[in-house]
Amino acid sequence: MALKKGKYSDSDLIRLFHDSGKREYAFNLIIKKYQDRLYWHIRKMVIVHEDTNDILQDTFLKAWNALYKFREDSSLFTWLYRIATNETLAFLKRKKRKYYLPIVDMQKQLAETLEDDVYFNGNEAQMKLQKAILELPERQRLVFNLKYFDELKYEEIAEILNTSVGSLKASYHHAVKKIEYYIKSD
Amino acid sequence: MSDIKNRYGTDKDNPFSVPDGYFEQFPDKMMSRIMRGKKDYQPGIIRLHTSVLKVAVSAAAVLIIGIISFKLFVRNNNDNLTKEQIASVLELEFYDLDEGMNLYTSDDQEYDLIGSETADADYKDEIIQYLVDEDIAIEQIIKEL
Repeated sequence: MALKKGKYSDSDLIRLFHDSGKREYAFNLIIKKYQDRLYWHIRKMVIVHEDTNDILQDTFLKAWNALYKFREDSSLFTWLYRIATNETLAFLKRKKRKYYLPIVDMQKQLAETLEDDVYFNGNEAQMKLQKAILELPERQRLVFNLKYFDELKYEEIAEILNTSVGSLKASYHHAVKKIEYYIKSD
Repeated sequence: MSDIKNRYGTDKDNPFSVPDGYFEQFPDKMMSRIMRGKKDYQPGIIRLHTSVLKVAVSAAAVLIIGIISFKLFVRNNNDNLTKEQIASVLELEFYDLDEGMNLYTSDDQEYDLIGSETADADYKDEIIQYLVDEDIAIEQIIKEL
């Protein structure tokens, strides 16, 4: 396999991973390729860096254990996003259950965390936008983040969230309306 | 939508940050964690091994507890038996000792006394019979004595 460093496609990386002598090397490259995008995807949902770090590690650990049976029906990128999303939603569910938090209190707590977060350097307007996003239900928040910040196509989001493009468009539309209403009314 | 983008931009204006060097160090840390936990390539087998191991450990624990309990039970019973046996043996020994003491003290003395009396009687009868057989006069016997 003639590959130039830094030019690996997802298919190349998967082929490299199936070579038992190069498995660790291939996975290291996969981490380097996707760690940033997955980190920010998770971070926007859970806000706290430490929680994000834990979820990101669990995401890559699950990917390591399951990559041998990955059939490339979907792209590696959407597959990793799906694992990260599931891990994030599971984390939020555990957190709610652990502290007996209703959804509204959970959103309030995340907003308070954002205000105290030493790794949040945004201005007042950005803080307002983040708080508006935190007002959304989890699923709408996910859809909004993936579309607005990550600029993914609806087809890609549909693959990640295992849903239809139509419902995604509706979710995103509702999310945007709610955020605009929140910003204007504040 | 355009209103939001115009006001707040997109991810290029990311308000969040990470600790210094986080993304540079993450791949190595992640690989270290994977290598630490790496037992088998296939997770199904890891899960199977883990579950088998759990069952084996549980079974071993139950077996060990069972063996210890059984041993303690048997030992306690043995202890009780031993005490009883010791008590009965001691009683028997003391009884034998007492009986023995009787045999070698008063009984023996009685036995000897009775035996000596019988012997003396037999001895007198033999003397009388001898005197009769030899036709020795009583006066002569008295004289000899």
